[in-house]
Amino acid sequence: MSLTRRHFAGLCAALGALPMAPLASALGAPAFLSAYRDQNGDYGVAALDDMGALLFTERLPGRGHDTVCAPNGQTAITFARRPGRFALAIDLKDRNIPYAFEAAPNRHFYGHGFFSPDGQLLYATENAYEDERGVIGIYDVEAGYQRIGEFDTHGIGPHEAILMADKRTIAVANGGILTHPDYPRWKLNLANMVPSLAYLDLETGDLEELVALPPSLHQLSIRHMAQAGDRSIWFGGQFEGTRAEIVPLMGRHRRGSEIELINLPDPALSRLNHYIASVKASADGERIAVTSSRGNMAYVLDAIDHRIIESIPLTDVSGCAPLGNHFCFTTGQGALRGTRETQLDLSFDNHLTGLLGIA
Amino acid sequence: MRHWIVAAGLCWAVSGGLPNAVGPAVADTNMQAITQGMIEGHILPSYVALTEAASAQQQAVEALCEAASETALGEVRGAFSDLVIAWSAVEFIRFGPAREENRFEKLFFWPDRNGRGLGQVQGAIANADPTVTERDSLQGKSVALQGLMALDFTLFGTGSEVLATDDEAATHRCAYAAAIAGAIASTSEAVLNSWSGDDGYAALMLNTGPENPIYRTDGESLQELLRSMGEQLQIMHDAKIVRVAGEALAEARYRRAPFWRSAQTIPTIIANAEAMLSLNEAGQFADLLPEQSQRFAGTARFELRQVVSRLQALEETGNTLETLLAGEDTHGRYAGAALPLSGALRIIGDVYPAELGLTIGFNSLDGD
Repeated sequence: MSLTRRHFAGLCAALGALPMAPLASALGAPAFLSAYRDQNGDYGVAALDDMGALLFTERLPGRGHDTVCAPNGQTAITFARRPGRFALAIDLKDRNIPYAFEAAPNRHFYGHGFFSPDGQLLYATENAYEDERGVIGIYDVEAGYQRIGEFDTHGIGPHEAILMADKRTIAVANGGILTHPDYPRWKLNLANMVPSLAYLDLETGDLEELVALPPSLHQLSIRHMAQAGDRSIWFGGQFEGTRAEIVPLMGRHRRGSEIELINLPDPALSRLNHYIASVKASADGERIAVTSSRGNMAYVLDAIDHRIIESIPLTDVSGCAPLGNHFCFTTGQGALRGTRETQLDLSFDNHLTGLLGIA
Repeated sequence: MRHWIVAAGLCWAVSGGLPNAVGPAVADTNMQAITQGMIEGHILPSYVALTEAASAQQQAVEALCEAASETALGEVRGAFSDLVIAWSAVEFIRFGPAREENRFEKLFFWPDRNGRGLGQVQGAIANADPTVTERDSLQGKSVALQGLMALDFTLFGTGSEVLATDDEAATHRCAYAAAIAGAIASTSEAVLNSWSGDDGYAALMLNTGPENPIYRTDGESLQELLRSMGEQLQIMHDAKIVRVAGEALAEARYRRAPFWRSAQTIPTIIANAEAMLSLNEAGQFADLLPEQSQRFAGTARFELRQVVSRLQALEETGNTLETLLAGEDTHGRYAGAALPLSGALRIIGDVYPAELGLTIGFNSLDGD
């Protein structure tokens, strides 16, 4: 179901928000996008230039999560954070009025998604909560983001899903945690979670491969992922077991193999505080960055030998995006650390989207 | 995986006295004293009480199984009431030893969306499943089969009256109830043991420092307790009051509440609130918060007492939850408990951490 601009504005008004006029605009091209919360407690999505300067913002009716950009670089979609049901399509180039649409009945967004290579379809991870299964909703962009179908993710709690470099395969992180909007953000199955990585055919949704963690790590919720230059998938998890246990939080998977756990040395591993917030690959695919808001730390790893190349202590760091072969990081305290360091009066939300390199 | 508790215990001795990572305005606050007060004044004695109540429950069920009678069943049910009240004092602790080996879910599998756990319990009884009547084998089975909600159905659910008789069906049901009570006693003891001793979780929370695998500062220990209290108040508000009462009389759903079969819903929510009151006192917030914010301890106390007195008045009517939620006046009074709960949540979940300089980062507070 889509919301008209008028309905969406009404929704914002009902939530006490202002109309969606941009707060600021400048000539620079957007290089980064991030959902945020401002000092009034209102939510939005911000576009920043490559130096971290704020270009413009759009208001959101609730807390956003990740933003994905269409291959042509014209449109970006910000998804609601779970268990939210809104998504906002933003025109990055002509700055036309944003277009909002909603999740289907009995579905809510998990906050991540991606576009098809031709930009005609949008895919979003969703919770089919009455059936207790994860799905990827498929939306027809030209038809005003009409939902035209869904794929089963073969797991509970699909969080981040990406289109792999072959442009034909979807990789999905099934976090394994059962939730229901009747009990917002309550984890209903911690005793028997089964996180997994699923690979689906982009065209048919057919399951190509499903890999799970060893039973001893069944409480490591696989949430975020990136594909390295050697085509392996790197993932970061959030551990739901007892915090007295030190468990590997990262893994790497090559199609057809078992999951390889990344054993970071201590105290680097302990410092992550059982929690990885974002995983991104550099433009050349040779470096992987992970952030931990709960550990106030980001690491950049060599994707070949898995060594930590750089440790970046940064309070409440979560957002991360490639900046060439380096990375840009954002924090809940409004800091952006990229080409240079900037500070804004807002809280950057969990994820940062890099637009450099997109058409 | 490596377990760090024991190894880390050796290192703490050198880590005392390090400054907390908090703002200068509250640097003098003795956060360790607050945490210590809550652990020693509430958490440890409440876990001891839970193990005692579980043990008493087990003995009562075993006596019933040996010689069934209405009197013996009455004693078993009375012991269950004591047990869930004792549980309600520690229900807010969802971290640490309760998190290990899924002990929390083994004790309290709720909410049970779609009644899946209940279905397992009913199936085990209907099929006279021989594997649920021994504690050890039961403990290896589904968490839903071995906790307080399973015992609630076994002792109070459909067909439970058979327990007072020598009927054949009573033999299996009673043995299952005894195994559940044994499992609850065993799990409770395991939690208590993990909290106790020189290398127990209490010591972990009180001996913070860079070598501590979980709590690097006294602020982090205290933050864990305040966050857990906040979560519990949120659960009481959202899941036990608002979602049960619904937005209107016609939307009330008493079966969504825990322990409606045993008529312990309201007593256990009262016990939840009394636990928060007890923690508020044991933590000595009225004395140990920064001076300018000590008054908030009184506000929290007032709000929590409101929760208790409002629910107590409903309990004193002697009506079942179903009846209370069907009457306009009593439904409104039940729903009205949400208001002081919100007030208590604001103080304990937001004001205390803010006044102590423990406000958690936007992303780290509630990531995804």
